[in-house]
Amino acid sequence: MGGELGTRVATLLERERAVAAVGGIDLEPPRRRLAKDTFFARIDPRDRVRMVKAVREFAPTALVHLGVFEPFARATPGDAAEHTIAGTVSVLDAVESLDAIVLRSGIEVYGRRRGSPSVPDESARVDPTTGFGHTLVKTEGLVRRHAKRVAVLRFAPIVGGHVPSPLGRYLRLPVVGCSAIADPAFSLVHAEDAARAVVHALLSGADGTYNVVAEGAVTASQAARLGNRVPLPIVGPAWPALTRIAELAGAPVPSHVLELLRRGRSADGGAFRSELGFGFLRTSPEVVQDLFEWAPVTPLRAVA
Amino acid sequence: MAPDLSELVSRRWDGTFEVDPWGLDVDLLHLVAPLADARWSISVEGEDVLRDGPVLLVAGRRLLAPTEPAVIAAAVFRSVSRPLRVLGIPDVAPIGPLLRRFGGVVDHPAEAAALLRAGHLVLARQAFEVDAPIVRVTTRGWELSRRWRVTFD
Repeated sequence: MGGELGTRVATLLERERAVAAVGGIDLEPPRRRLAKDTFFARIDPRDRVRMVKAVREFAPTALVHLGVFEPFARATPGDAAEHTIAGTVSVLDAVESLDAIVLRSGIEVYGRRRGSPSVPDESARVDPTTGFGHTLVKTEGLVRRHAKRVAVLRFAPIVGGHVPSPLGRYLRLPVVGCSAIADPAFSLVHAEDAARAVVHALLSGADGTYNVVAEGAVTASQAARLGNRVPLPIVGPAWPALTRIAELAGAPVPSHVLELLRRGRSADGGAFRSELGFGFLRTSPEVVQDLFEWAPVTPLRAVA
Repeated sequence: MAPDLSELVSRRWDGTFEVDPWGLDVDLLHLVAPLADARWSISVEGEDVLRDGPVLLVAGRRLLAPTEPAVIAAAVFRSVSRPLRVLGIPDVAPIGPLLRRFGGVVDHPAEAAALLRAGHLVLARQAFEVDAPIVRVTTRGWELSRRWRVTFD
């Protein structure tokens, strides 16, 4: 509940009459003010004892597990994997009987091996090719069979104006390196759509695995142009130098983002739209446009 | 209706051109369509079956030759203004990514199924079980010839 996605999901759930109470646990505090009766506990995901105590006191009937740390979003790749696995194990140890689980996963689980389909559906073989993809696969494996209904939502990269995301930070650099040879297409999902999708999956009784991917796609050079950035064509040997420079500029590039830039990343999200009746508010190009749009700052004025 | 050149350049400059998740860039198809018309004189028969919805097109014996898929794609684009997705590109740079821009995709059943679910026209070397109409494509012409006849039935 401490991340942007978790906080937004909590605020959406607070409005739902079907939800009796909302409670959350995270290492970080919520990003927005939550309702007075919403329970929140700030606990390190590796602290099993406190986690078990807090969860059992709240006694949830459904679990929305968003504690999946993307490398270089809020933590280094090593810490992200450790926090994700430890947090998942702790929370699953703590819950006793659940009707439903909704898990945040990602389309990185499909990997981008040569010859693999570029737009896999949910039946495609899981074959991760990056560390983040492997972490997601492990997390999915831990969560399955812990509730009557388990909805695994494999999100395209979640991007939004205020969301800490390595891809978002990279695309906002003044010069954006893109593959001179491939400049492949990738799909995204907006943070608001991601939060709505989680709530929709929970309340619609979703059970199974779903790709959550906004329609359309963009390339890195196109994203750069949409944001009035300069696209810089990069060839093979220059990628390590580019990632080092990007890191120095405050936008470290983890391996799954580098793979996206060089090989593309998308998935078929048709089942989530057609079977569960979910409508996205933004297409992938609109997600990129939103990334570069900032609301104007209105200075506060003292009232006499 | 095909966009004019200034429109294409403007979209390229400001990033508002469209790329689909498989990598197809329709603006580039519009750019090369006149070149295809200049290179080949193609007569087309039976194109009405391609006007709407997903269709799996199954080509004849010579699809491995590079010219034939390009001729069929040009015939489809010119006659029904729809891009053709050709299965079987090599997934190796630089040729793979380049062909993706013009509608090529890797030869994988899941790729074909996803394209058909999204309502595309897909060209394959052989028929397989799909939830879409299957149309046979026959061509008459040879690799270096200018005149081609493409029939869909």
